[in-house]
Amino acid sequence: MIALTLILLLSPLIGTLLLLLCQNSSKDLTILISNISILIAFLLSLFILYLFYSSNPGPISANFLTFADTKLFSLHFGIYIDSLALIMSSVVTSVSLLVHYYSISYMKDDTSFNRFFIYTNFFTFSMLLIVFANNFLQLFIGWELVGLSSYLLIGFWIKKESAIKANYKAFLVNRVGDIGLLLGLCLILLSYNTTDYNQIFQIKNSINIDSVSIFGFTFNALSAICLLLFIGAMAKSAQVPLQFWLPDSMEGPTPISALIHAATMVTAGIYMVARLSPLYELTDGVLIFILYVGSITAFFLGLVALVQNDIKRIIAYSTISQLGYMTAALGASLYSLAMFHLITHAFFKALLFLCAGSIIIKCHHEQDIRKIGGLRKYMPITYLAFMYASLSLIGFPITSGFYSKESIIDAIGYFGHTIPYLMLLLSIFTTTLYTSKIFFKVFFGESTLPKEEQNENPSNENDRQMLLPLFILTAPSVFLGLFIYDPLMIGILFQNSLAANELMMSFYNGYVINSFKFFLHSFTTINFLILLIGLIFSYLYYYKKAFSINVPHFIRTTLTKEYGFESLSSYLIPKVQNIFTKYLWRKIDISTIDNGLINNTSSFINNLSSKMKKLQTGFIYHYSLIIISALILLLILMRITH
Amino acid sequence: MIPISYYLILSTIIFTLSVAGIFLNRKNILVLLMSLELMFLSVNFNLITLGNYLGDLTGQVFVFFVLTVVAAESAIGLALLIVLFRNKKTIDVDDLSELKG
Repeated sequence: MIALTLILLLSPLIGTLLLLLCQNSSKDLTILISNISILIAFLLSLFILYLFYSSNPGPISANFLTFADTKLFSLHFGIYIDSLALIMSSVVTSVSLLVHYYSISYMKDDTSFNRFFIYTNFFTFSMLLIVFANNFLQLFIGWELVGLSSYLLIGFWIKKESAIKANYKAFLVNRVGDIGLLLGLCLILLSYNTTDYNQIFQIKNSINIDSVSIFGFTFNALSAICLLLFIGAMAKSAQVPLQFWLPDSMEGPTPISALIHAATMVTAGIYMVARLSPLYELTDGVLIFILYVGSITAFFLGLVALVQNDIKRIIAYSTISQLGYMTAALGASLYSLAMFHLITHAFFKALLFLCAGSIIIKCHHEQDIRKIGGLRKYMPITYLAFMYASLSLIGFPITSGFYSKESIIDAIGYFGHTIPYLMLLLSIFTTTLYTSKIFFKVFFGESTLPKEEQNENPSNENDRQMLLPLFILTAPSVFLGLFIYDPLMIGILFQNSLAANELMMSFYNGYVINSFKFFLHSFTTINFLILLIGLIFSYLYYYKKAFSINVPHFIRTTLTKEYGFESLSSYLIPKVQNIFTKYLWRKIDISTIDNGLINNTSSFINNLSSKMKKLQTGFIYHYSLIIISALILLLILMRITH
Repeated sequence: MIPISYYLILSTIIFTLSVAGIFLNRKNILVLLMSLELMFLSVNFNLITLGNYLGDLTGQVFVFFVLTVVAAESAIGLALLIVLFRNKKTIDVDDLSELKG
């Protein structure tokens, strides 16, 4: 099983290397290598998942390579196999496979076709490195590689200025988070002399009492570590206040948005916290912080989506909002629900993005939903797929999204976190609004397609290669929740990989009973009422246009400006940095180093030598005078000393 | 018999003249060479005087060696002088300040 997992992990990497070798060869070879390497990874992760559940050997940890081996600690490359890692890798590879397949058609006219697949393969590998890491160093390496590949892919269209700015922004914001992660890593090494997950999980109880002193303040070591690591997760998983890179990452090709949002990037933060849940369980205060960060993100960034008009940006804000749900679930110790929502979200969000890609291709790269309309007749498959994905996103009963999202909201309410509960509840309404906004504007109303393309023949919709992934993704988006809900809730699915199982059990026994009862019960809850109101409201407002609302100007501006985060990121921070670096440039670089150290030294020597050279008159009689007077002086000295 | 101090005083006078000639001569490099010769001669004069006074022939023999070296030296000096004149068209000491910093 270990060898198979190693092959699974390395297959995308080998794919990347092969693609690098035959960069200039034909597209067919690129397609073949990239898709097959991911396909191998996908099939292997399903197979290992099956093996794991049939034999159930418990978590396996194995080291392969050693980077460093000192007396204090050793750093390894290794693999950690348990149900959490395997389920995550199945999700990552399945979405990645579909995105790869979809991209063949989406990117077919691009000049850098081969480069695209090199990056995506590498992206998948980096994420798998995080998923299967058995120590923090490997996690960190994977983390950085994910950041690197997302940087390369967001700026894939290197000649587009906005894309370059966006990838720069994504990279820099992730750097901020990486500082947290790196500090956490250092603190772990400092406190426990090991980076191995297993060893840390084993000594976790004894390490909780340790305290660490930074700048004279004393912290509980474990809480400090968990908080620092969570800062890393905040940047990766786009939580307030480090969320503003994600909407801009829409500058990349649409399949990449699907990949980033569903499988390989933003889920890394959630996955890491879930992976370290035994540690987070022991902290105090950190979880409350996570809970509030999550619910604030879910509510406020959902609102921002309402005023956006770019189809991809709306979906991006909805991702941030859904990530907020997951983070809130982590903060309420509902780790398996967070993972559950991650999985369902991966599928329906990938589906949404691939639909958006299909729409964008059909409309010749038009992304403004005000300029798109009436596509229902011409894109029946995309229409249906988008509808199911939207239903899942808004949590309409029986869909996957319903099970994961409703459980999170209800469980947070059940355990009495009132303020987060209310925020999450209200964001059901906003989710419904912005989802139906896209839905009604894009698929209904006047058709905006040019006359000659208004062909209702379904074969004209788009390439089959683009539509097939939509078909496949619809199934898990709608039905996956129903199948895995019960085993997930009673802890069969994740076994002991996640902490606080008893909390889930009490929620399950006290509130859910079973998936069908939960489904029936949901019709009587306030969640469903809010959902219905949202649906009716958006039907009247966006479809019938029965009334119009004058949003006060300042609210609209605040939302468009993303509560000032936009000006913060694109104006304030660069400005402050500019002033700061200019100050440094003037005071340190020019005044101290250039003028102070270098120019001063040289001019001092110059002055000295120009004084010294006056001694060299060039006249022989001066030299001989000096020689003879020195001789006489020496003679006199000798006379005196003797 | 002329007392030895006379000889020594004479040689000192010649030596001082030659040193002064080197220092004060601002005109001619030929005069410089002549002053050098004079310096050697004054030293030779000392050697002979003291050799005679001490009854030791070594001093007088040594003078021959010195004279040989001086002859070679002045030959080289004059050769340099000719080369210098060819290049510079002058043997004026004040014009020869190439080493000035």
